[in-house]
Amino acid sequence: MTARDAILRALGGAASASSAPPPVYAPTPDPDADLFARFAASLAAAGGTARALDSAGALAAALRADAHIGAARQLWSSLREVVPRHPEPLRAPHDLASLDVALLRGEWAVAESGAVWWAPRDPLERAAGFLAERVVLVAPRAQLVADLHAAYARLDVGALPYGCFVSGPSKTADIEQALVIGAHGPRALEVWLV
Amino acid sequence: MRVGLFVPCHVDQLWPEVGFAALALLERAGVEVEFPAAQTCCGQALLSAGGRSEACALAARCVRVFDGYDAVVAPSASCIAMLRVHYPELLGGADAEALAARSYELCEFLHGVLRVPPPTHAFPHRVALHAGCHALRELRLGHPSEGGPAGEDPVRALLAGLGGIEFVSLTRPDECCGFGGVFSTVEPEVSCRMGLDRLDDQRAARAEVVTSSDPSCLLHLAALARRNARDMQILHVAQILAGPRT
Amino acid sequence: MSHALRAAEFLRDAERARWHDGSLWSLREKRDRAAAAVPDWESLREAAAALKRHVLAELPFYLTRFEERAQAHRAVVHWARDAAEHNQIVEGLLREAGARRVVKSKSMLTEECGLNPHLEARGIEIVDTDLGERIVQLRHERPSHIVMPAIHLRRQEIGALFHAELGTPEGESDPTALTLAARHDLRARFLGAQAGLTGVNFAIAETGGIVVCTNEGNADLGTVLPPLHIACMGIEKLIPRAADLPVFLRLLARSATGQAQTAYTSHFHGPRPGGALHIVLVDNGRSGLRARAEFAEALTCIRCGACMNTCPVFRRSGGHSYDAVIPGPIGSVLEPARAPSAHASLPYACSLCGSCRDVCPVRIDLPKQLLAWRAELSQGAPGGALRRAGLRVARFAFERPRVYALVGALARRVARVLPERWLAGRWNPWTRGRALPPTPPHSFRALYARRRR
Repeated sequence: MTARDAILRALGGAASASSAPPPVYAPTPDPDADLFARFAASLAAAGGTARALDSAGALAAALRADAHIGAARQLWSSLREVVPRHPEPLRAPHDLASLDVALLRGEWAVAESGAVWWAPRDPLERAAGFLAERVVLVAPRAQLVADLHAAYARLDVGALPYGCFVSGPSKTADIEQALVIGAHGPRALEVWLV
Repeated sequence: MRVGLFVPCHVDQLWPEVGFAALALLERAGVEVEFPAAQTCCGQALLSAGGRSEACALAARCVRVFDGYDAVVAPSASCIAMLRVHYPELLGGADAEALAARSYELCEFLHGVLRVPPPTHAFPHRVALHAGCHALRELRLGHPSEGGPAGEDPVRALLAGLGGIEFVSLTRPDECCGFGGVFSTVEPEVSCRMGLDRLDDQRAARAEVVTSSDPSCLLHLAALARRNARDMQILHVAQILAGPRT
Repeated sequence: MSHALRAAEFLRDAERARWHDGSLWSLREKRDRAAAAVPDWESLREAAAALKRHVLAELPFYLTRFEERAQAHRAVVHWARDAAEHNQIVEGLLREAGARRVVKSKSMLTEECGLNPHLEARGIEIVDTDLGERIVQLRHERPSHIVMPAIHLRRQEIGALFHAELGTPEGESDPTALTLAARHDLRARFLGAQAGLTGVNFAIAETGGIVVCTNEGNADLGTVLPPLHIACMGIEKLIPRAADLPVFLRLLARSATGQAQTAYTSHFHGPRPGGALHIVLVDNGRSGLRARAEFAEALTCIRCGACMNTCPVFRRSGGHSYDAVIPGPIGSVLEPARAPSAHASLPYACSLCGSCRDVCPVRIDLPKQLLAWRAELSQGAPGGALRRAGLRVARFAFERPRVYALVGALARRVARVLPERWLAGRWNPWTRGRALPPTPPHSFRALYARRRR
């Protein structure tokens, strides 16, 4: 008997269907009007910063003006049309070990927790998002929702091998509960909603 | 209304004043009260020590002893929690359910059922209300600081009218005192540390009096207070409510 | 050694015990504030409880559906009956991949199975990358809390450890500096790793995906750099649909640390391009516990640790005094199922205050389960014969009011007559920190009867 058979037997035998459907939770609609303010506050509480930009033009200007982006020796950009990636050839994720800045594209933003859904298809981009010292995550302002229920209702999480809700820079409080930003991953996260 | 007075075994043997204070309060409220002498113990100590079958036997006995009363009232939230929460689960059946439905902690009965006006005699003291875990988290007679189901606190409601009374605020208003039945002797160090932390909190709030609806918590705190030379007065709420006449 | 003895040991350092209690209490307070900010908190708890109980009831269906969907995403699914099988499977996968340097993000399951010692004994280096786990790994000790593994340590102790193991300057104890040192050390390990192991917070049956929540990003660094990802999970970690995730995610981080969400909530559906994903489903006693009506509910636990933070006993005794993989209230329910005599003292490490039940996001009735263990263990536990005899005597007395009254009167008489040092000796656990209770000359019943006459 395989382990699979033994375990299923111990659980009462394999079943092709459940005898009852799973209970459904009906979330109470969030009456909060100013989602951006809520988003910014949630992200700030998690150690990140939020910024609202009115247009693609404003985004381009902000990217040009950003001091960190300007000073970066090594930069990853998923916003190729606006900021080209650093010309150094990158073959493996390990080449990104000294990445200064990663510019990433997010999809859905969640006001309740300051989280942004980021689903990089390219493993290099995934690595960039965690190896960079600073991350700037750009997401559409029109795709800012109130809470996670609203976000998951719009997401197809299984469509890609990887997707992540990012709600702040990397952090830890494992030493005497003292908060330290930048544990293993990025030390700064900015979310720009355009 | 015929009320059966349930006197916890530890009150019967160690703190009879509490039993008489409860009796006085009920008599003054105009109900017919009787102490059925056949009662002994609700069995919670045995259940807490792993004696489920022994606790069942005492539970069944208790159901029989208090048969016929319109209400069963005890100056002890933990005993009433045993009757209301645990007896139906231990015994099953309509009799246990019926007893559970008509069992009340004393303040809950006076305030919530009889709706007696709170007494107004003088009690000009700084009082720390110790929220017993059974009252708060099993009978839901209060608002737990961690959230969860809540209800009105009848102890506070009844004491609030006393002349000059001042409720102190504690840094941890509802942390367990550490008695916990068998826990007090199986883990005496932790039990005492928990109790002393309550006393320290009460002392830091400059409480003169510590009170609760649970005599077992108070006996443990009083024993700790005596050993550690703390001079707060430890009184059961029934004693305070009954006033100087008892 | 029992929990009681270890707890007494822990309390001997009064200052440290007070500090430990304070650290955990502040986590409890953070949780309170976070929960209060969610208007539908109680409905969420109810929904989470209902979903988990439903999955537990229909576990064979959800497991096979998860397996089918995960395989459709090209994940490889393995089944392990017990810890030994789990360790063999993981070892086998690592050998097959030629992986001798492994990084691991937090997994209490791998702790339960003893994976690290198993691999280390076979020449495979496995480095825990969660900072707290890394600290206890370097100290060769167990985590003392399932979410904050190093919460029992002062910064100076961690500083001394890092000085010895990572070369930080002697006397350096600033948490930021120490974390930076760990960051550099672990960054190199991530880059050099040949495989990454993770736990699983939630496995989605409908989509065949797994969800891992971290604040550090270590699960992601550990799985995007090496080509092999092995995810180890207990069979109870399933939830039905992706749409159920928000119910749990909104409860998890708030219950654990008072945060709205962890920094990273990573969803994996199949391997990354150029990589492999292996998921190991582990039973190791879970199917047995599920079959026991009184304790099955404990399998709905989502490992938030809130029960530990709120428990007045845990805070004053420390996780190590439980001498178990999972300490605290939930550990005291799960561990006796695994090893009844080794963990017989754990259900008694509890004053039955009920606070754990109020904070549990999935509404596990922990006090009820602890009481059920006490009844169960008193049947055959060591020292149980004495306890059983004592219970029988107590029952005998309490069933006979005249016997009870006589015994009470006699005990009070003896207590009034005997010298206190006899009564308050070392043998009496009550008097180790407390005065003797009062001994009134007459009981209530005696006075009542007198009054009636």
